[in-house]
Amino acid sequence: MILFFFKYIDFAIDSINAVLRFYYFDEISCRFDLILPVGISFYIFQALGYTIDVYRGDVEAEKNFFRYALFVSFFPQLVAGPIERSKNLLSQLKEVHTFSFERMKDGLLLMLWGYFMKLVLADRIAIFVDTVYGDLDTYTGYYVLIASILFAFQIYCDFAGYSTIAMGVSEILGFRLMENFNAPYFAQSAAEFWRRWHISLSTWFKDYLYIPLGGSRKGKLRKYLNLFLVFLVSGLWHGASWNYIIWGGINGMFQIMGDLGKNFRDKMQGLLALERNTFSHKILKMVLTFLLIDFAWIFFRAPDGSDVLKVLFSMIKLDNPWILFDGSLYQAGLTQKDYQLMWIGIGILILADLFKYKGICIRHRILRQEWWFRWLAGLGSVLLLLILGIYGYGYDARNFIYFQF
Amino acid sequence: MQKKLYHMLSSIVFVFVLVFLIDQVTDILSSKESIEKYHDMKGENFDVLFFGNSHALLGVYPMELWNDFGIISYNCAGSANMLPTSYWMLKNVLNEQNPKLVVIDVFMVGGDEKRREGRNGVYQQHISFDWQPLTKEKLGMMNFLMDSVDERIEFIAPITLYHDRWKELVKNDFDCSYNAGKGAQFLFTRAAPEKIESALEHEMIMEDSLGKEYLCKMIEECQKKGIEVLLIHIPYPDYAWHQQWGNGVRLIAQQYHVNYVNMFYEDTGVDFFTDVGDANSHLNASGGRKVTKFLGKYIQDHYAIPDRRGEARYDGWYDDYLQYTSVKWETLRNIKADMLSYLSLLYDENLDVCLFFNGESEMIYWGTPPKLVENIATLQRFQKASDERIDYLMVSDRGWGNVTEYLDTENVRQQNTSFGTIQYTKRDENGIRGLYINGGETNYLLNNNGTLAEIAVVAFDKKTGELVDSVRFNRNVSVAAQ
Repeated sequence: MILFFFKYIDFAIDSINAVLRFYYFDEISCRFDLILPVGISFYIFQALGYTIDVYRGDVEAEKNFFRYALFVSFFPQLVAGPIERSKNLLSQLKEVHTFSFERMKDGLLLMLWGYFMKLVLADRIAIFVDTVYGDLDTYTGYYVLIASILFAFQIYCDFAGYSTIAMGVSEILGFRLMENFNAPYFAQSAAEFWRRWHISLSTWFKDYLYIPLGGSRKGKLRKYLNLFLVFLVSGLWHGASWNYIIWGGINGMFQIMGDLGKNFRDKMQGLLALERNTFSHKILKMVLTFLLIDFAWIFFRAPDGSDVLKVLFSMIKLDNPWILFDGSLYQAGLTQKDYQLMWIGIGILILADLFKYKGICIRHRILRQEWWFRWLAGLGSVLLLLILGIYGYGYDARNFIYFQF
Repeated sequence: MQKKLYHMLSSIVFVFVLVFLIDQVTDILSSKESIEKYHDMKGENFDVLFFGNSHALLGVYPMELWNDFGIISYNCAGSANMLPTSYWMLKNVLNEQNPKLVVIDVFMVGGDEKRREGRNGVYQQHISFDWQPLTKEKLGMMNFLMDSVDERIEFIAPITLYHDRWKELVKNDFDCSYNAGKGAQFLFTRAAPEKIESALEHEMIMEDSLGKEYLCKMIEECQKKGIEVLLIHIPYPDYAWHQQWGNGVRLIAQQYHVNYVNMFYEDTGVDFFTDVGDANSHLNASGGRKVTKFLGKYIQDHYAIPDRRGEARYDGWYDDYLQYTSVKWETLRNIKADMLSYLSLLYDENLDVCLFFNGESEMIYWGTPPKLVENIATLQRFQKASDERIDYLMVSDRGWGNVTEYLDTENVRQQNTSFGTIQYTKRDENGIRGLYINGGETNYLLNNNGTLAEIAVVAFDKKTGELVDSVRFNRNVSVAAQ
């Protein structure tokens, strides 16, 4: 109720008014325009998960009010997740924590990586994306294509950056939060993407909505309906607006079509004599998955339906290939050096995710090196962050995108 | 326990190394305007310090005070500095300096802003304060002049402001050049003021204002430390309202028993027609030179400020002066495209000038150039040349202190000057005249295409006798450089 009141009441009134308007009835005149409490979607879900766990008997009810309050308001992940489970975090709150130098180093490196994603990449990419999406009449064709591809990285770096900082801070304090992102753009299907993206939310919906609805136990049709419903609700969780609901619906459709098309894909594979375990086949699937997910992101980013249409038409026409060569791209908010740095940063991000995908932890590799190398890595990273980050008064350090949810 | 100690020590060392590196990187990334302007203040004590905003910054030249009067001074004025800013600047500077005299320009005494608003205003404060170490006074400045925590942090950790300059680093960021004018700046342009307003001396605004409050604070701060104060009001062509505020300062001066020179009512020689450099009513280098000369004389007459010329420890100032003039001449050479600015700046008393007007050119009688010539020297015969439209040559030999004027009708002629022998020949059958220096073959009156220039200038450094510049101006081809 609290979440509905703060986040959805105006959206609900607007939607009802749209229906009333359609049938020539008088509209509801009240509107609340409430300021959304920071992180409300995150801690409400965390508290809700705890309540359900207690109801199910999965965890014991916490008798200590202050410990429960700390669980709900644990500051590192309060405003943008990960949405922690009572089983994981509440139990850690009961443990005795002592300072560990090793954990501090580990946590600091995690934080540095998070800040790199947020300050160097997400906020730099945002300048280009905001410029293009803010004026879709001027910026068309390849501008829109590049901005749409970049938005996939922006939202990843923004959200994963914040989660990583939260994990790093918690690590220093002696708490281990759940992994929230696991190289999502290396997924080879939409279903796999959602197992790698915002894991704490996906598993929350799975545990507390999808399975209680029957999951896949009540036949195919019911399974697809459940899936679709879960993704619609997931979209609504992201924001009180129809574009988020459509975004959720599209992702739900990807999952259903992926399941429905399995037999067709098997047949095609045989027909075309494709080998599924080859590197090229995996790459192809990754690229196709990225394009599908990125297509859905358009509905997430574009503020309304007309903008979505403009973006799609622009991307179909692609009538200005020369901008890729004549320097016009450097007129869309980012200077040439910023633009180049952004792509170098994205390259580093992909490389880091590749290591993660392969199960290699770069952080731990660094910490195993000799002290001078560790110092060099630590000092160099802090300096580069300070120099290359987008922050400071002269620049609008953009709010974390997920703060609004 | 030993491990804990090792971790603690290594963490402390790590933080120290990090802070040191950030400091080094900040030095490279910082805008160099502040360090360029104030670099020469470090390590030397000045007898006279000037405070104020752009009017003083562009109007008082310490190197000329040195050259003319042997006064050791520094111009601490900053563009758009309101008096509260000047007050904090004074407090910071007096940490290191122990001047005999502080000179304060009172422009904007009626202002109620503590600093210019917006980001531009913040940036101006960085120019004034970035070069100074973090002291109690600097913290006081931050708290008073800055509105937000973010703005204050920019002074404690300037990297938060300058980090994005990595994209625009140039040689000067690694090998910084410094202000050769002991803090002063020049406006090497000439602009006719849109309007000229003049308040009468008795018209005064006496209301309270933040500027007034901080002017008093500045005087009190100086008097507390036994430093004499001189209040000045550098002239500008408009803003009668500000002039009336400036007139009211007379009473403040009386209250504190300090001298006040309101230059609007003094014979400084400033002529707004020739001596204004921009639309914001700032004096140009010609106007500034006149104000500086007047001020130097006033200080010499009214205060016991020693003439330091000849003192061994100030020998470096002679070299500084040479560097200063070379920068000045370089700037002069770069404004050839702007004939009116160029002509107005020939006032500089360190220049010996040969100026030729072609009698067949309409520029000898029409437009602005004839009026600007009067700024160079007091002329007796130019009007006749202008009326009769005949060739005119003026030789302003400031080295020997004389001005010679030649008209077309006279037989010429060879003249010895402080910068060499000049030979000025009659027109030949092709209508060509010649101006040769020291028996050289270069005719300084000829355009590149061999025709006679409409206006020609040859300028020499009064001290060294070296050729500073020679230029020809024509109505259709604005510049025919040598």
